[in-house]
Amino acid sequence: MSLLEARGLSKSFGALQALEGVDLKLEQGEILGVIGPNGSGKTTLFNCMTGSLRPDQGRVLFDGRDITGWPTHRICQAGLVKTSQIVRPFLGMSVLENVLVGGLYGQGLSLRLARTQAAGILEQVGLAETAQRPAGSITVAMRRRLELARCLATGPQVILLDENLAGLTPAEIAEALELLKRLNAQGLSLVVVEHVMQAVMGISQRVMVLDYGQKIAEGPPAQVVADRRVIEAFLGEEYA
Amino acid sequence: MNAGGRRSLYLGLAAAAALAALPAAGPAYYLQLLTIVFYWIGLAACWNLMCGYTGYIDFGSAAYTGIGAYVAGLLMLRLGLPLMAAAPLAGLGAGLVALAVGWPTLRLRGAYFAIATFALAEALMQVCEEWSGLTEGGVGITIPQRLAELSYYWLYLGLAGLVVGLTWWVEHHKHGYGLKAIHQDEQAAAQVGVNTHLVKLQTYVTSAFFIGILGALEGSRLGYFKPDDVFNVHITIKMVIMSLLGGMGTVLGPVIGASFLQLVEDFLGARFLNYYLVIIGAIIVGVIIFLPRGIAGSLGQRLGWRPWRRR
Amino acid sequence: MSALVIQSLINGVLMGGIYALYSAGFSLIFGVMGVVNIAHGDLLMLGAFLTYWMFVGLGLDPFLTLPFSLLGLFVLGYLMQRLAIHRVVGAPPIMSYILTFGTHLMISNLALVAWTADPRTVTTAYSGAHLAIAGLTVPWVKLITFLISLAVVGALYLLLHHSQMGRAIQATSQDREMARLSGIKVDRVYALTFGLGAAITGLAGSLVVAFRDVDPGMGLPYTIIAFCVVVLGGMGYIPGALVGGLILGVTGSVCTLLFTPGWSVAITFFLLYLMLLLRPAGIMGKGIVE
Repeated sequence: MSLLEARGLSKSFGALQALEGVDLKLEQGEILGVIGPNGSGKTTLFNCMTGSLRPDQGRVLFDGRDITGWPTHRICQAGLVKTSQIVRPFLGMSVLENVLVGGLYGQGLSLRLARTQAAGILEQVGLAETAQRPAGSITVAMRRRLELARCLATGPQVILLDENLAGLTPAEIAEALELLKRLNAQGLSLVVVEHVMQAVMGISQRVMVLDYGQKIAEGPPAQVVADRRVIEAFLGEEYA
Repeated sequence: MNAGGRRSLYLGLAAAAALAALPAAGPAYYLQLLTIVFYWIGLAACWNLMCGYTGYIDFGSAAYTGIGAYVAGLLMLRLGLPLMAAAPLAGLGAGLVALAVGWPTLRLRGAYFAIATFALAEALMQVCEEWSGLTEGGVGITIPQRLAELSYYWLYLGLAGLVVGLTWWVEHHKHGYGLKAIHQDEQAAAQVGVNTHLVKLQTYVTSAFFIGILGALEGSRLGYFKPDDVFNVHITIKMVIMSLLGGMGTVLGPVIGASFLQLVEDFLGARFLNYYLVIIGAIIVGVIIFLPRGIAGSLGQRLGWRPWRRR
Repeated sequence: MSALVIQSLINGVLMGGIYALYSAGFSLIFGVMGVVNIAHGDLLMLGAFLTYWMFVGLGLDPFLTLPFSLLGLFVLGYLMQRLAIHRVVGAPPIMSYILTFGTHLMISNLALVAWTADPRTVTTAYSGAHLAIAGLTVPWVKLITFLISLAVVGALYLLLHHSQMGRAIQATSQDREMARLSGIKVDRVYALTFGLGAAITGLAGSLVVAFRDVDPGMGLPYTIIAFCVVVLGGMGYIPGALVGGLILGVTGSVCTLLFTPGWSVAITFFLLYLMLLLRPAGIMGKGIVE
């Protein structure tokens, strides 16, 4: 059985069908890329899986349990978290405290253990030096890493990354991808939503493509980019 | 615990010890004034614990002083319970109502939460006015038991110390991080595993429990009260303003704000009976315009001295 | 239905017009600036006193005082915004509650010192005149205040949707930064909005003397009613104030008849509370939801 599985997820907002019967499967230790044009339903898919939204139809299974309709915090505690597209650090708290919250509540650690763990995670993502600075005072690239660090502190099995590379320079992207690969090598499974196609193609073992809320292709990166429907979706019909 | 935290703990203990020794020396007028100051420190600290830390502005906290006063008052009056048994039961009563109210209401946000809590407190006051079979209505009730003035001094000092101490404890433990995370960004907090509704509800009920006890004691201190005395919106507003003046979401903010406002009120009330509410209004407006971070926060910041800085 | 109930329905509708009028001002200020103005009822009280003093002092007919309260309160509101309120626009909402509560304390207590707590009534030669149909009475004065209220709410709606100034206000309320970038003087728009909200509230104050006596402490309950009205109609949605005002006027009036005034207030507040829980965007679902 897959570690994370979505079966026939549908979600509409009024007249807009944001998701239509989307299936997703993620195996233990895998990196799955999700790509699609703006408004194709990527963020909605993530929100439906992590409890921010309730899908109209379909089920989400994680680690052998049906987690459909669970509240966000419970899904997080079960080991499935996501980073937000818009970074939302707790601005009034220090970088370290931001990560602490994840350890305290995501894993239920004691304050002492959570501190030790947070320091280790900050080291791992390269934020150790900024640990005591207010989260509002660090650069965008650092905030993206902080967002990831906060998720890691919850002790997840799977992280859903919603455009965690947006707004970064190529050098920063390369660095971030290295980090993701390292985390993956340690056994963490990832679902990566990205607008930067190259980045996703580089690290994903498998890619699925969404367009207008439907899955239009799935497979190894090289095969997917050659798919006629994918090219149409991204570049318009005249290029196909 | 860091050095600053330990220092403020010692400072607090020293202050509490000095206050405990005071009644032996001071004249009765100051004893009574301090009694009232402690009462308000207690109330403001309760409000601050919930609202200062989470950013949920409860505009109906007077519901809990009212429930406290009436539950205790009626238990004493109808069942002949002693005050010391009735007061904790009043706290429980307020806590239970807070649980029932908080469950749906804490899902509201911003101005909606403020207005809903306000509406509910006003509604409860009206029910209390109208349901005269139970509460004697607008006639009010006379409490048969009153403790010695010095007992109220001790009780209020103890309760204020307890709630401020609890705030300090929360600030330095897991729960405080949850509260602050909720204040900053509730959705993000849920995403990293905080059961935001539960954390809010626990704090809300705790805060109401202590407000209820304080209300019960104050009811007996007053000896006689009507619904309008103990459910009054001005009680809520005073808690809010005291927390705000001192600095919301800080351990000592309510202590500073309540002491300041209550002493100013006492000073002005004695000298400018007609104008003192006008002056209080002007002070409030002045503080918001010129010292928006509260007296402690703003002045401290200007002097580069921030013992109450949020960490 | 008995005549008594119909009569109280009529009274409720007539009072609802006034509720709608000043609540539209409350709603406008909230919608554009996000400011909950606790001193709102006090602005109504000032309008009422302005009419009272012009009637007693100058012998001016209450209806002729309307332009004065409109203008006077506009100026007051404009200045209030410029001097104080603009400091809390965009700040955490609690700042606006406290600031306007401080303003409420100042206005209502100054009025108390100046005019004492004695209730005062405005009685004109035509105060008793009424329209009688099938055993029901409709006082002419109340009917006219109702029509004026409706007309002013309508005019406000038109002003907001079909004038240069209205468009500037709308643009600012939707996106302050975009408005600023497109050349709108945001601070001036805020001051105008507050002035406008205060002006129609003052007007409502001048009209309310047809229904009741006037005293310095009358303001706060009207603020509370404004909460109810705009929550029923939808925060920041002007036509909603009309619906909310009428519903509240009728509910209040009928509940007072069936129970007591006290229970009527309690019921109103429970309604408000349930409304917030179940339908925070208002009955028509067009309000702002945070």
